[in-house]
Amino acid sequence: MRTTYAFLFLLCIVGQPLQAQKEIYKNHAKAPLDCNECHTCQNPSYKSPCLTLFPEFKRESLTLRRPADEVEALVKIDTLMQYYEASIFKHKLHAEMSAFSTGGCASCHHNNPPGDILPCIDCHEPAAERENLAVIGLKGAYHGQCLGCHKQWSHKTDCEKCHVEKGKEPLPPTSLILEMSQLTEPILPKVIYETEEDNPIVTFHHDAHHNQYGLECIDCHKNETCDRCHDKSENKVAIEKEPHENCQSCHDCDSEDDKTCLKCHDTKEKPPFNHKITGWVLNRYHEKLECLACHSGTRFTKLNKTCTACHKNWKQGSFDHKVTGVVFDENHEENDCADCHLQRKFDQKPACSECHDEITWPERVPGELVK
Amino acid sequence: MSSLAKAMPIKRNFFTPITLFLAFLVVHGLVFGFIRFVYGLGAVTNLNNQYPWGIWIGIDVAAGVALAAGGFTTAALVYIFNKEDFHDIARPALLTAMLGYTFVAIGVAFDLGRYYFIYHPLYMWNGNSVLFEVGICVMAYLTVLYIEFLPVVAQRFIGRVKLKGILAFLNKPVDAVLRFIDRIMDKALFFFIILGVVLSCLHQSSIGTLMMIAGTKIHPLWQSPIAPLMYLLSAFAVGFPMVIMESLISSRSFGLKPEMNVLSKLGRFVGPLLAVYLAFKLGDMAVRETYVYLNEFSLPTVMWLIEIVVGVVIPLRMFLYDKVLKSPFWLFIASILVIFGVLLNRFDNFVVAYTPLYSVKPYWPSYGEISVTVGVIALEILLYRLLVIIFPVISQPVKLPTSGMKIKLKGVVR
Amino acid sequence: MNQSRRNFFKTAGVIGASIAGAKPTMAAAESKNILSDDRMGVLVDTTRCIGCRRCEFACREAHDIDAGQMLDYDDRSVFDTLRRPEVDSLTVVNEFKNGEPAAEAINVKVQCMHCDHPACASACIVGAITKQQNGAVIWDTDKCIGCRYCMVACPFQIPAFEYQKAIQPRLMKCDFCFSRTSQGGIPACVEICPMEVLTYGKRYELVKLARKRIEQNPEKYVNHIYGETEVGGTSWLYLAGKDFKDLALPAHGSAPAPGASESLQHGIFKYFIPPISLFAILGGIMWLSKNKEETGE
Repeated sequence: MRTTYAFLFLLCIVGQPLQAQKEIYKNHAKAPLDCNECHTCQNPSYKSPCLTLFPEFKRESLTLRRPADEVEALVKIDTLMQYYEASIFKHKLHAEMSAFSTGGCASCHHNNPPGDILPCIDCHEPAAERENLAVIGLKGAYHGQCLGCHKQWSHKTDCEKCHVEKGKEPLPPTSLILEMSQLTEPILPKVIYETEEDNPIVTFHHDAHHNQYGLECIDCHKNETCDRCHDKSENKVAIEKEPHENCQSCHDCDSEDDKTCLKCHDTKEKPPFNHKITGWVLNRYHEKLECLACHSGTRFTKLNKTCTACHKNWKQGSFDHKVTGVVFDENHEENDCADCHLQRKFDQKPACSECHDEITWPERVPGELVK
Repeated sequence: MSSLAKAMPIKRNFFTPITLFLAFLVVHGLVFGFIRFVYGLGAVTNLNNQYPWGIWIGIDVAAGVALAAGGFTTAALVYIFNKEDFHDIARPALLTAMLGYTFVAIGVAFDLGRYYFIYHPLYMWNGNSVLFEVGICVMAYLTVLYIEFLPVVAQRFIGRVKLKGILAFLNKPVDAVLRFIDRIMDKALFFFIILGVVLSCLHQSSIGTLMMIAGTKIHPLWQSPIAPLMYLLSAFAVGFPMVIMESLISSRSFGLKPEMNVLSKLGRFVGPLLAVYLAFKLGDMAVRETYVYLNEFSLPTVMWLIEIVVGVVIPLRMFLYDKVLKSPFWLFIASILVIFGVLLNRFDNFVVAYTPLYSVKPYWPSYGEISVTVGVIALEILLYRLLVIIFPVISQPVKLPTSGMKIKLKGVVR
Repeated sequence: MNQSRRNFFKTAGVIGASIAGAKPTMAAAESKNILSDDRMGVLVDTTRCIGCRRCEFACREAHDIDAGQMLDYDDRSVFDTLRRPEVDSLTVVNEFKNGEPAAEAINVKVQCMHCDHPACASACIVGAITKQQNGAVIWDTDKCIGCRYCMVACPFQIPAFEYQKAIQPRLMKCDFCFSRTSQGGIPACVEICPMEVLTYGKRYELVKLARKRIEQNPEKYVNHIYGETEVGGTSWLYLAGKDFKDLALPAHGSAPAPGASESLQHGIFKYFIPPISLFAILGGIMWLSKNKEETGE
C-alpha cells in the first residue's frame, strides 16, 4: 500500500513536465516564440486569434493521398490571363510521374496542412499586391513549380510549351505530351557499366528486368529528379545514384563474398539471364512468362518441376489440348486427363495401355498431329 | 609703375600665315561643331554611357579653367599684394583669363546635351552639387572678368566714339556712358578684383572636387580627398607660367622686346609654388599609400609619372636656376612644361583616370572631338591677337614720355 | 573600416575647406531629398530568375519604347555578352555561369538601384534628379541641361544618355515606374515577372523578408542582402546564391556615394562664411599693402 502511494507521489513529480509539455499552448506567450509565426495580427485575442493557416513549425505534409489514376486528368489554369490564353495542365500525367520522385504529390502540394489536398490558390494569392509578402503570389507559385523542373531539363524558358498567345488556337494537348516524351533519354535495352573492380563490366539488361523479370518502373525508379530522364544535355544537373542501391534490393551482394559480386561483375559483357543454367530449359510457353508467374517473392529458389505443382486446375474441358500439338479425335475427346496421363504426371509419356492393347504413344496418335 | 612702357593697341596687321592657318583650324572645328549641333553629340564624339565625359570637359573645361588661372594670380599679385612692378602684365593676364573663361563656357555649351538650357543653374539650384558651384562661380567670375575689362574698352573709345549714319546721334551718350564707367570702375575695381580672386579660389578648388563623386571609378593616384586643395595649388602654380608663355609668344609675334625684367621676377614665384604643389602631391601619395600603384606598368601610372616628372619636377628645378630665369628661351620651355603638367593633370583626372565599372571599349577622343577642341583653342588665340590689336592691352615702350601724358590719361592707367 | 574611411574624408574635407575658405566648419552630408521611412523597394531574388526577359518587354511597354514581340524575348543568345541599361532598354537581364558545369546559370536583372542617398541627385547641377517619397529616384526633363554629371557620379553606371539626339536628348534610366507607383500601382517589371523574382513592398519589410529567406535556406543563399547597406542603402535589394561580385554587382562600402564631395561642398559654403572671410582677408592685405606703399613714399 505504501509503495503504491510512493509511486503515485513520484508519478506526480515526474509527470509534471510531461503535463506541462502537453499544455504548451497555455502561457505560450512566454515561450521563446515569434508571435508572427502563428498570428497574423498584432493583438490576437482568445475570440479572434487570427491564426495563420499553418505555422512554419506545424507544417505537415499530405495526410491524405490519392492514387494517380484518381486525380483530375486536366486542370485548366485561367486565374491569371493577361498575355496568354488559359493554360491546360496535364495534372494526371504529372501525378503519375511524381511517383518516381521523392515527394510524390507533395513535391507540388508542399506544406499541405493536415486534411485534404489543397489547390495552390488556397495559400498563394493571385494579386500582386499582397499583405503577406512572405508567401509568394499565385503566379510565382505556378511558375516556380512548373519551371522548377521544366527549365532544369530544357535549359530554356519555353513559355510557348504551356502558353498560347491571346487569340491563337491552343495546341492539341497530345502534341505536347508527344514532344515531351521525345525529350526523354531513349530507354536502352541494356546498359553496360564499366566499373573499377577487378571484373569491371556490369551488364544491366534493362528490358529484361521489365519485360521478363516483371519489375515495374517504380520498383527501381524512386527518388528520381525529373531531369534524370528528361535532360538530354551533356551537363545535366541530375546526380547518378549510388550504383548498388537499386540492384541490392533484389540481388544479394556481400562485399566479403566474391561469388555474389560475380553475379553481376564480369570481365566481359554478360548475356541476359537464361533459365537453361538452372537445368530447367524453358519451353516456348514458359519462356514467355514473367519470373514471378512461377516464382514468388524475391527469392528465386528451385521449384517443384511437376506440372501440377503449378497447373493445379488442368482438367478435361478447361485445357485446350491443341497446344500440345495433338487434336483429339471423337473417341478421345471426352476422356479425363488422368485416363492417359497416369496419376496426372503430365511430364511422362501418356499410357495408351489402359484401354488399348499393343498400342503405344507416339506410334499411334489419339487423334491428329497438328503443327 | 614702369614709366617707360604703357599699354597701347598694337599696330600690326591681323593676318599672317600663322593666323590664316589658325583660321583654317577654326573653320575645320566649326564644321564638326555644326554637325554636333545638328545631329547630336553622338554624331561627333566617342562619348557613350560608359564614358559620359571626354576631352571637351577634360581639356576645354577643366584644363581651360586651370590655364586661365593667370588672371587671378596676377590680379592678386598686382592689386592685392600691390606689386606695381608687374603692372605691365596685368592686362594681358586679364585678357587671357577673360578669353579663357569665355571659351570654357563655349566648351561647356558644346558638351551640354541641352546647351540652350545653359542658364538653368541660375535659378535651379542644387547646393549639394559641386558642378553647380563650379558653374555659378565660373559664370560669376566671367562676369567679373568682363567688368574688369571694361576700363580697357573705355580707355580705347573715350573721345573716339565715331558712329556713322543714323547712329551718329548716339555718339555723345555712349561717350558719356564710357566716361561714367571709367569713373565708377576707378573706385569699384578693388571690389571686383578681390571678388575675382575669391571666386577663382572657390571654383579652381571645386573642379578638383568634381571627380570625387565618381568614387572608385577614378584611379587612386588621382582620387584624393585633398584633390580640391591640389587643384588650387596647381592653379596657383600654373598662373604665372601661363602669363610668361603668352607674353613671350606675343612679344615674338609682334616683334617686341621680351619683358624679361618683369618675367624673370615673375618666374621666381613659380618655383616655390610648384614646390608646395609637389609636396602636397607626394605627401598625399605617402599618406594614402598610393605609391603601390607605381609598381605596375599601366597607362594611368605612366601618365602620372609624366605629369609629375615632366610637368612638375623638371620645371621646378628649372625655375630655381637663375640662368633659366634670365633666358627667354629656357623660361619659355620651363613655363610650357608647367602648363603641360597641369593640363595633363586635368586630362588625366577627367579622362585617363576614369575607368567605368563596366567598360566595353576604352574611350579615345574622336577626330571630331579633337578638331573642335583644337578649333576652339585656335579661335581663342585669334581673338587674343585681334583684341590686343584693337584694345590697349600689351605694354609697349613709350617713345616720348612726357609728364603731360599722365594727366591726359587719368583714370585709365593705374 | 568604412566609418574610419568616412571620417578621414570628412577631416580631409575640412582641411580642403579651411584652405579654400578660412574657417574649418564641420558639415553633415545631408540630402535635401526626401527619405521616407515607408519608402518602397523591390527585392530581386536572383535564385528564382529564369531569364525569360519579360521584365525587359514590360519595361519598354511601360515607357513607350518600341518593345517588339514578346516571344522575341525568349532568345537567349543575348546572354552571350554582358549587357548594360541603354536608352532603349532601362532594364536588362544578364546571365552568369554558376561555376560547376552542371549547375544552372544565374540570371540577374539590372536597373537603377534607386539609392537612398543618390549620387546622381547630389551631383545634378540643376537638381533635376530627386529621390521621391516612395523611394523612386526620378529625372525631370524640364530642368535637365544634359551635362551628364549624374552618369559620372552613378556608382552603378546606370543612366544612359540619348547621344544621337540634337534637341532635347533625354537621360534614360529606370524611374521605378513612377507614374504607376506614385498612384499606388506596382512597377511594370514586377507585375509581369512570372517567377516573382521581384517582390514590391515597403523597403524595411523587404529587408525582413530577405533575411527570412536566407535564414530558411542558408544553403541556397549567400548571407548578404545586396543594397541593404551598399552606398548607404538602395531601394532595390538583391538576393543571390553566389557572391555578388561574380554577378557584376560592384562591391561598395556602406558610405553614401556622394558623401565626401557633399561635405566638402557644404564645408566651403557654410553660411558663406569661408568665402566672405577670404574676401575680408584679401581686402585687408590689399589695404595694408597700399598703406605701406603710401607711408613709404
